[in-house]
Amino acid sequence: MEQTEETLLIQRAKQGDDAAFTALYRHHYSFLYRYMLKLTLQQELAEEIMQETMLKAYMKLSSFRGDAFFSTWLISIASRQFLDHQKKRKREQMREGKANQEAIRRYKWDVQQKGNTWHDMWDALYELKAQERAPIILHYYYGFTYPEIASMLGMREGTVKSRVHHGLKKIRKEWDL
Amino acid sequence: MKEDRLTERLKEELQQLDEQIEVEKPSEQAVMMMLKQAKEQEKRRFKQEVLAYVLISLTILALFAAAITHLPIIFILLQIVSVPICFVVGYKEYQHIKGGSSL
Repeated sequence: MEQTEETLLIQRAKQGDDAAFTALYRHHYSFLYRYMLKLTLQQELAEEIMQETMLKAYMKLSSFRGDAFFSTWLISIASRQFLDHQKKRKREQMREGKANQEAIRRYKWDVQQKGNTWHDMWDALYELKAQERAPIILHYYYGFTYPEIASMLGMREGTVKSRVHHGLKKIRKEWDL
Repeated sequence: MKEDRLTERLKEELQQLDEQIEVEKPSEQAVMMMLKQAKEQEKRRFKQEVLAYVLISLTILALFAAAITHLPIIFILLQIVSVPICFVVGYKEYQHIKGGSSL
């Protein structure tokens, strides 16, 4: 999809054209889902947050000013949805911890069942806290700068840097680097 | 040097994960249906909130009217209580409207 086509779809969606919003969402779905799965490490949770992200984007579309790419805006909403979700679950951390282990085990089984290799990176990501995983993926894979990540996640630049630092330390340890 | 190696490896490994992830896009109809449901839910929420605001406003007006004509001291007390409440409700509503990112 070209930038001009996307801009037109955004304009139409802002005017209330649901078909235009659907086209936009479906266009970015694969990209966003891949990010969500790396972040959540759970298929069900990734799908749940994808749905929440879509609804939030739909409701808040008028606030999209176009200063950033539409995909960046979606990533920002999805990341915040995920971090909010994690905050809410903090009280149930013990139970959640077990559920996470179970979910990643199930996903591992699923991957291997399809004849694919289980990459160590999944385990490395699992070792990280949710709030460390998001900035590391956004910085090292999607190439966002620290100030951009800070704005996307609604936190200070120093906090982002410190979380990346702690996360990398764990990955180094995991990979014996 | 060590840092570069780590960065490179991170990129490569994350790229491999992306290639491995299978994506099933939702159908157009499914997305449209979810949007329709969300719209209806939002309408219901809006109606409920408007109704609650109207009821609260009418109650406050009735209380103020009674207080100002009969007991001015209660009128002052009501103002002390209601002004901070108005600020809190207004701020919460602003946060709700502002919602997620506005990049």
